[in-house]
Amino acid sequence: MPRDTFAELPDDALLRAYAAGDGQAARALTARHLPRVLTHARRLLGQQAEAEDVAQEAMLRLWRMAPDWRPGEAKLSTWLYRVVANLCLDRLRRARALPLEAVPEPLDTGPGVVRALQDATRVDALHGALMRLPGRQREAVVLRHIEGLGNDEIAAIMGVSVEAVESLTARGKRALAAQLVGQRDELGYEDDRD
Amino acid sequence: MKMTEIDKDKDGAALEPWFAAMREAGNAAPGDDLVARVLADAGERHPLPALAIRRSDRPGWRVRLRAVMDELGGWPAVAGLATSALAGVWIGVAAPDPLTSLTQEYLDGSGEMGVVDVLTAEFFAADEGAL
Repeated sequence: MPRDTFAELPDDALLRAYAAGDGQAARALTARHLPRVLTHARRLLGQQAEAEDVAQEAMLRLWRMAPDWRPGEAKLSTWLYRVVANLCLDRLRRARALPLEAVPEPLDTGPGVVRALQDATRVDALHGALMRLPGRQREAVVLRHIEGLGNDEIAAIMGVSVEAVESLTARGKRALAAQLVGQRDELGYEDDRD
Repeated sequence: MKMTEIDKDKDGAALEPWFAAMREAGNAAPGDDLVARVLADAGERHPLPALAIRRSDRPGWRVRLRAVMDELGGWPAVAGLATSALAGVWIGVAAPDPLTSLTQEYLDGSGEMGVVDVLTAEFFAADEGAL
């Protein structure tokens, strides 16, 4: 028998079970979606504590919405991406702009850095560069190139046209490249992926 | 776009090592405290006692059969077990008759059989150096 019956159930069935009062369904939904929700919020906000608050709020909206969820109309992950993005944008608007010291800087690593540290350095550098992008560009680039979603789904998440998604990702990548690609030589990367 | 694809545009291709590093870093594991807060919220929304899931929500027999097969090692292992079982049945059904009847005749003395000692006592004595 399956070790965890709930782990095999689709989101629609779990939401229906939760709405009927099944606590195990809530655990399964949390295990399945909270890591992605938290990570997406952190990528959009750049701060762990804020991201955790957004993740909790997004999951709270999920619990509230569960009785009204209509199976087959949308993917739950798409719905959650949209909720997380809206919550993050609200917070960023309230904060107006992040203070400069809140933006993580790329690690100062010299030439000869070991390969294991290169990836960590790159993640840190990309994270800092993403935080310097306008919110919509950041969201589009993350959904497209980190989450690996298609333009159609991103357009549905962001509530814009596919052409607008393409424009946002293109402008976002241009700005990221201007920030990051020049660092390659400075940091002495010996990249074997190119 | 699939994650393994690299953008054909110049900026996307140049940024791919950074994107790949972030993809490989994966999702953050939420801390126990956050999970507890989220589940507490879930409990407040629906403080009903846990109910059994509806029968229609249970995995079908195909899903359960596949789970059992996975536990056994997948299709190759199950095929091996089935072959072994069939071979055992076949051996039981099609045991060689001559051997069976010969054994039975020996045991009940009904057959015309003689026992021949092909190794004589002298042979053993010579083999053990007594002669």
